Amino acid sequence: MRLPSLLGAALFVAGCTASEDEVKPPSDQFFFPTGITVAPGEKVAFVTNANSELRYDSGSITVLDLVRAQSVIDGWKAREDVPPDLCKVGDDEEPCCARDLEHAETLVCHEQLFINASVGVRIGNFATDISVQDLGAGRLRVMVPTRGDPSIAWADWDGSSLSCNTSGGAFALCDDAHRLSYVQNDADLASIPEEPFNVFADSAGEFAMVTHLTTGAVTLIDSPKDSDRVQVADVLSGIFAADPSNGIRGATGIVGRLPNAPNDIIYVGSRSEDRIQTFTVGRPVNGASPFMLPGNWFFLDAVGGNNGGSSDTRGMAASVDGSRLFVVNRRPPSLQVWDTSLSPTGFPKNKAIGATDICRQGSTVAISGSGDAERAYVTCFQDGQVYVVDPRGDVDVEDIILVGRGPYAASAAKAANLLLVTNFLEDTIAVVDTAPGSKTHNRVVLRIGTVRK
Amino acid sequence: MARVLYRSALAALSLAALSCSDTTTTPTSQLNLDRPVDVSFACYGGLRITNGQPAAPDQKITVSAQPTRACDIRSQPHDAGTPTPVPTGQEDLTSQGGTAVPPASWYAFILQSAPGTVALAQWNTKPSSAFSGGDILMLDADTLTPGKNGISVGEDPIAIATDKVGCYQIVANAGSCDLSALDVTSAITSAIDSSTDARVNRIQVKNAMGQVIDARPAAMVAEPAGGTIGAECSMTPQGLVYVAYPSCHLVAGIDTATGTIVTSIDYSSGTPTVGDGNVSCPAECGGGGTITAGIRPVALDVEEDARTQERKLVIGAENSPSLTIVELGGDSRPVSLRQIALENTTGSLGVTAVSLSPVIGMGGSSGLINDDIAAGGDFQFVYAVATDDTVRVADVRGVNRECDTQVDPRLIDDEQSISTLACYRVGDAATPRRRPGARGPGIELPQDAIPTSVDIFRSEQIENDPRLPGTPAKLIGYFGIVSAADGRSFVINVDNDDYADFRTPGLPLQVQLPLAMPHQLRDAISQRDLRATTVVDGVEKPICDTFGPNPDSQSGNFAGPRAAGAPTRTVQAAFVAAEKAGALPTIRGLLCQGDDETKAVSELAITAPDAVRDLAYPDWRALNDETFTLTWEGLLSLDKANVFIDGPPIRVGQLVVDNQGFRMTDRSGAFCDAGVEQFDVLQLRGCDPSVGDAECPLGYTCFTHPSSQVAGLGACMLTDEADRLADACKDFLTSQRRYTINRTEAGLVTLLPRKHVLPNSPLDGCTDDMQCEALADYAARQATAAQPGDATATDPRTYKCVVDTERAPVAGTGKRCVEACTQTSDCSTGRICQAGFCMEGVTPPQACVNAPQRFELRAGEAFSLVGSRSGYVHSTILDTSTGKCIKDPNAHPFDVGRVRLTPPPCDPTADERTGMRPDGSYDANPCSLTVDHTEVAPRYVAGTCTLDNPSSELVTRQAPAIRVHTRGPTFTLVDPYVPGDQKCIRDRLGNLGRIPLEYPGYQVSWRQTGGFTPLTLFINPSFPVKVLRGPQQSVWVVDEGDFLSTSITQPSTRGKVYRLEIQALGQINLLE
Repeated sequence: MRLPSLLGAALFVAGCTASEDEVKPPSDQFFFPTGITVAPGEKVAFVTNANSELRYDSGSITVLDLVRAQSVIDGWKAREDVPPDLCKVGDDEEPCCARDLEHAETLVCHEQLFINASVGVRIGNFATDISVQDLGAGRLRVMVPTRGDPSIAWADWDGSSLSCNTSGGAFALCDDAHRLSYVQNDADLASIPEEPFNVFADSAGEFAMVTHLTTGAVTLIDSPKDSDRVQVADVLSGIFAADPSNGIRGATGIVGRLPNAPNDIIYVGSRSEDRIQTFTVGRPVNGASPFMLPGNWFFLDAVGGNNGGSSDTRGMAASVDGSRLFVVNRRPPSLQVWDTSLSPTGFPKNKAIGATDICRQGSTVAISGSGDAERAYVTCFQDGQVYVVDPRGDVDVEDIILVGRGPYAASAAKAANLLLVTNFLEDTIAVVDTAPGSKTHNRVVLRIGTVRK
Repeated sequence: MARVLYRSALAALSLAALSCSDTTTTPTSQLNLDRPVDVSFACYGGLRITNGQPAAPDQKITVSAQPTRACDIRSQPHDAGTPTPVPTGQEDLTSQGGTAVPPASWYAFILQSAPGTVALAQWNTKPSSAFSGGDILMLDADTLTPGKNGISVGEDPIAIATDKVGCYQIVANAGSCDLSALDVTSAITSAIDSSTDARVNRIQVKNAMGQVIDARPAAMVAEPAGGTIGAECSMTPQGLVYVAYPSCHLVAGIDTATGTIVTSIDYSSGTPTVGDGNVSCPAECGGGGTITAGIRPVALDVEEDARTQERKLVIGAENSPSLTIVELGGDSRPVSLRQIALENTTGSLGVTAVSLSPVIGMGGSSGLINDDIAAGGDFQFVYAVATDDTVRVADVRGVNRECDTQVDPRLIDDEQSISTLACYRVGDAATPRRRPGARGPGIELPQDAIPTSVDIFRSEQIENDPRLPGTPAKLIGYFGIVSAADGRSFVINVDNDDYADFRTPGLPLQVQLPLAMPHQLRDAISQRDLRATTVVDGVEKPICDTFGPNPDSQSGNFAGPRAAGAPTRTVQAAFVAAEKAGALPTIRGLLCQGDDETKAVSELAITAPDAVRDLAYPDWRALNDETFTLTWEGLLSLDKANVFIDGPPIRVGQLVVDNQGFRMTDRSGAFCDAGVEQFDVLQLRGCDPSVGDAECPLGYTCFTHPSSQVAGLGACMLTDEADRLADACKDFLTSQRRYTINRTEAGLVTLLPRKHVLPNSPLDGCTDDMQCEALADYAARQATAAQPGDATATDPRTYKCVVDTERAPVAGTGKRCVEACTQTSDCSTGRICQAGFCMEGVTPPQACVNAPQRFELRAGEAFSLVGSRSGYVHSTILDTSTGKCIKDPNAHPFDVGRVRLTPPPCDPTADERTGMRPDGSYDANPCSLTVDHTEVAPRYVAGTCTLDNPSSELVTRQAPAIRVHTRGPTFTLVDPYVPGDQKCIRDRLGNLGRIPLEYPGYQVSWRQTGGFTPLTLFINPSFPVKVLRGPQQSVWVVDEGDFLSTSITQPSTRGKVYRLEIQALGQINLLE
């Protein structure tokens, strides 16, 4: 158990005498929420808590009950119903929800109303992202890069709870088998590169890929759906050129074109080069571990050609049908839309078709809807906003939503017309109403969690 | 406290980590702008209140906003020493006892989306020619707040326009679904006197029944400027604005005085109809409205033509391929409308920006705008930025037609009708075919730049302009400016009155149609008609010893397209000795008899005769500055670390060997895209053992078989299997691993083991083994400097004349000279003896190839033609019904990227320039012919092979050749095959038949320079979102993007606004 021993050492050095229970993270609260992903079926969402203050001994993955959230939102929107539930706050009980005094359209609720405390798991610190792999039959697998170790945690969802520890137990800490730190889980082999950053899980391909922020490497995780033999299968480095100003190579955004279809093409962006590198994943016929197959690349030269190209890519997302790639870039701040539909040659066109100016610290992008209803939601960490971008026509910012402090990641519950945003700096999840025609369209209708002062 | 500090530090660290803060340090700077998105203009200053009556000394003088025409008049050019022109009624009456009218100035109102403010800038009324940079001053609307501040006007404003009489700025707010009216006088006064406030009124938009329209605007234009100079401003704005509401499928004409919709163009039925103010829209800002599917108008322009007084409103919709032209009456209300359907092959075309030109008299090259007497007649054009990333052009002067801007100039050489050239109607049977590679009828920007905005400008001549006619930046006539997302802004010739309108008969290089025709990107290279000649005693004589101007000169390139040097043969001495390289294929040479010397020159050189150059470069727009390489069995893709054109040279896939054959798979499906064809070559590249295991996945090692003689070719194998499999995989691991591609699909190619064929196996097939042995010896002697008659080198290997089914059929006997063997040691290095023949690659057991496989795709028995910018051009597509790669039956015949040695003969009736036969069909391309070819050949003492003195001479001979039409140059490759030499090097007296001397990797290359170079504005915006026409036809470029500086000397900015003078594009004012 590498993490507890490290933690123990740290506590010893700090001279603290806190017991294990005292430093165990709360199972029913958000603490520096970072990644979020709505599970297929949209009954739950998984949220990573980074524990960025190291107040606790670990981070966690909490499970948000979206059915309950949807019910509360429906009542709130239709009749301004406030749930009568009481939540325990300290030794007291108080109403779980109340109207936001500053934003009348927003209902603010305690996490307890939506988090099932017993179904989450504990992971390493500084989780950055989360992606979900559909294992079929209602089973899911989540992948979480954690920068503290560094490692990649994974946990399986059986429809009712997450598990990442063979010894079981509620809100258990992931065991070593569920914390991938070494190639092929063999400590005698190489460690994974530093700073795992973004993750993409491919359900059909039964793998996940992780980018590394400060090395530019990409790690492949073999994740067979009918086996718990999840392991780091391949690591590729030297993919991107170094930033000439600081020498750092960085791989950042990663997304698959069609994650639920075979032969997916994975697009990887960089913070140090204005290039998108594609990959496919090959599986040898002899059953050996899969490996990454680098494919074509293209340059983000459609925007910012006059000031060094779009060399600082952050979040990336793909449209539902794989025909569009959305790229958040910071230099210049822009959301770029690329046509990734198939050309007459049967290969993605990979051609820029539009862009729009966005906030200056855009970090991630989530996609909701399809066709005319398709929208891209860009989280703006510094401004506390989410930019809503209409990708049609010449690509325009349709709306700017104030969501809270430090919005980090977003994920769309498409059927419910909701967007969930993690507010890193205030320990909340903002739930945005994205239903077209709704009176609260593009407004936060539910804020889950107690705002950290 | 300590704990708090500890937590804070941690939090700060984690924040830094999670937000990935930038590591670059940028200097602080006072920035005046923040995300500008639009600009409008106003005139403010002294005004005598005449109310339209004659001026009188006793009339009131005030300082206020006034119609913009007042500043237009004051900005007119005038002779030095003469008074500045003033509007009628504003004359100086001080001599009559009147009060002096203070001067008036121009003001720009810069709309800023992020803060929802309007920034102010001011400059004096003066002619465009008086601008020299630094003319415009940013104003501060709030002097009590640090920095230069704007005036708050609304939420998420998207457009600003000056009302009809110039007294108000109307702002359309997408965030609040309303309008704001900014009182110009109060705004400017507040910037001058901080004790006053700017007056901003919010205007709710209402329908005719008074119901609030809560729809989100996407664009707005105001009716043409009017008003009386000398009238006082009223308390409300005047005139109409037209606002596009995409979600309401409506363009509303709104009375700015009341906010009431008084007229409308309604798209809700799918067809636009003119209506009144009885409209309703979903409440986008208030919520609750249901947005329906339908046409979404997002682009507007309105113009009043100065000559005809006609007013038109143009509407574009982001999801409709039709432009709507609305004829407006004198009150700017719709009278009628019509639509122009743009070509829409994808079914998804839309329009995102439009600009309407004045009525232009087309044609003329006198250096004067000649609208009233132009030979081509009157035209009026709409330029529309379309979602296919082109700028579409439509002629709306009484007709409804889209103009094809991509007509192949080869096909209209003789056209001298200016009106025809002004607009080739899309879809008209008489409209010639488009140039190869054209995506559609619209104007395409280089490097697939994404157009964001367009406007059209009139540029008058400058008196005593010293610039020569045709100087790129000398604009006389009408020109479009198109901004692109990559930061560039391109100039388009609409009606260039400083250049000929059509080609000059008999002088093919004098005028180039792509530079003369309307609706073409303007070229930035000067002296295009420069020829390599000199005048001696009044007689023009050629100069031969030149390649033209130095393209890399610091002063810039000039002159026409040309090869920057002689075509270069890249020859490997292991195959052909330097002395014999002259027999290898090259680009046709011509005899140049110049005033300086007589020499052989390339047909692609500037020294080639005019007629030849004209044939070589038939479409200047299609010419890039790039290096072309013709490589025998060369790569089909050559992307580099900094170049993305046609795919990586080394790809990675997986090999599968089973009962369905041996095949390479590419899960991304890139084979058709790469242009691979049957009988091409797949070269496995394994891994490079010199870099260890770096090219293999984890768990694999780069294994080199101990018996392998092939340098640098290892194979990735599982570390724990490599040694065990060494024997089983020996043949595979020790071979060159070259395979013939058989079946081609997007995601896989089937491979055939490749026999080694003698490179100079006859093109007409061999006849017997003895011939093959002789050819093998001849090939061996090519690598020596010995004269053919003296050479004794022989090829020790055995060759048999057989049919090789694993290669493309060969003419004549159908047989090839194939290296034969009884055991592998009989074969040359890297070849494996199987079934009596030496194989370049063998089918391996699956266990040998479980690792990822790096491979190259090479043209089989053909030259690959690759441009360093245009890449490898091909017409291969995926047949979705069969899954196979096929040739696109609709492809242009000039879309070729490979040259085989025996193409069909050229049809002598076909036009050399167009490649078309008299019946309108295209000749074969490439095609074979015989040409005169001039070259430097060895000169021998008669009857010997001893070099004479001089040792070389110019020789012109008939040579077999291949003519190749490409999208850009047309060239002739000579000597694709030779008869062989008999006694002396290059005597060409051999009787070997048609034998090729090419070997894999042989290369001919040339650097093409003087290609089309688009003229762009001399500015560096980050993300320009709008181009618009300002006072005196000034060009305003609005840059919304941030510029993140990495230099201590250059500030980071949050958007910029540029003003350029259309007549002198180098005069730039920058606001930031």
